[in-house]
Amino acid sequence: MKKKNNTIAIRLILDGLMLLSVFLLPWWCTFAIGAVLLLLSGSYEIILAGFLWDTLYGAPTELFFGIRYILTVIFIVCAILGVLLRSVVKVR
Amino acid sequence: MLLTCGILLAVLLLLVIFEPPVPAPIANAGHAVGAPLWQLRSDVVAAAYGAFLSLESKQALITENVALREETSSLRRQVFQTKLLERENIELKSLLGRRDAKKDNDLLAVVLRGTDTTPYDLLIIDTGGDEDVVKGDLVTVDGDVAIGSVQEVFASTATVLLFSAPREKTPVMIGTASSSVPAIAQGQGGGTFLALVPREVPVAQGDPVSLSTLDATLFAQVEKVEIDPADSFAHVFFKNPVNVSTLRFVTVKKKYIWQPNAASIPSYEEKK
Repeated sequence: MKKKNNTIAIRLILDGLMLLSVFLLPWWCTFAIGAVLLLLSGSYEIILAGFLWDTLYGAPTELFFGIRYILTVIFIVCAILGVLLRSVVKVR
Repeated sequence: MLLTCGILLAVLLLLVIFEPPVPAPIANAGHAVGAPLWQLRSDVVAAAYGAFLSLESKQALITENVALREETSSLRRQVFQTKLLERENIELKSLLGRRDAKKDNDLLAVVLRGTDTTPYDLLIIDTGGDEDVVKGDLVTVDGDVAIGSVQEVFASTATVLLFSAPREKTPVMIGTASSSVPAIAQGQGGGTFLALVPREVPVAQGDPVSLSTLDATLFAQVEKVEIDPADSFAHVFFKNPVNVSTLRFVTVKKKYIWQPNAASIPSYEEKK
């Protein structure tokens, strides 16, 4: 029970950091933190942070083939890869 | 596992194929929350930079160095501006009588977040729909150095996509009055550009580059020209005469809508 509470607390702290990174840190920090969290821990709420990032800063540029929701798309791909990765290595 | 992947994949396809617009209330709320945070961040960074400078034993020297650099940069821009004005003067002799109302529509804006915000040269400024800023308004620095256009407008903020955003294309004129050539500037990020022109065209380092508009807004300066004997096109590299990563203020030219029609101008790159 205590271990579970600790896990939830850590997850909430990381979510808070992610939210702050969306507003305050350079783009590559947000990209890196979100990708690592999704690949390793399966924190799907990070995808919402990606959506927020796209809402604030998204633009359909040539660099990303005109896709406006680029970070949401990247985070969803990371989440899918994370699910597959964890199923392969049997990690919950 | 399959259900999770299926749901994620469905959302992914929805976003990529249908590209639903961002709900305006969410976007406005996000920017309303973000604006004070960005202002705070900007103030903290400026204060930290000032504190760092004050610790330096050679502060006076640094200050003088910065001032001299700014003066040099300003003088350099004035030289380019003079060259452009020379050309503009010739072109406008046949257009006497036009009223210049540009200055009435200029709006100074503070840069809340700089080019480190996104990987594609986007700024967030502190003026928006409340000041009648509209999508497409031209954004300049130091008066007439064009750096981008308004991409999206919110209540009290707006996003500005720089012309130098990677792979963005902008029609420009390279060179002075006697030998200017139209070209398509392709953004390379960080205020830098690349254009291809026929190698017979006399383009040299230091030549001014302007937007292909009536008043020839200053745009960039040619930094390097690469000519390969086996290639019929010269690679012209140029960059904005201002450092776009350290901008603190910009000017929004209201009612000066930038509507590039790059497709209508022959692209040497495409021909190649």
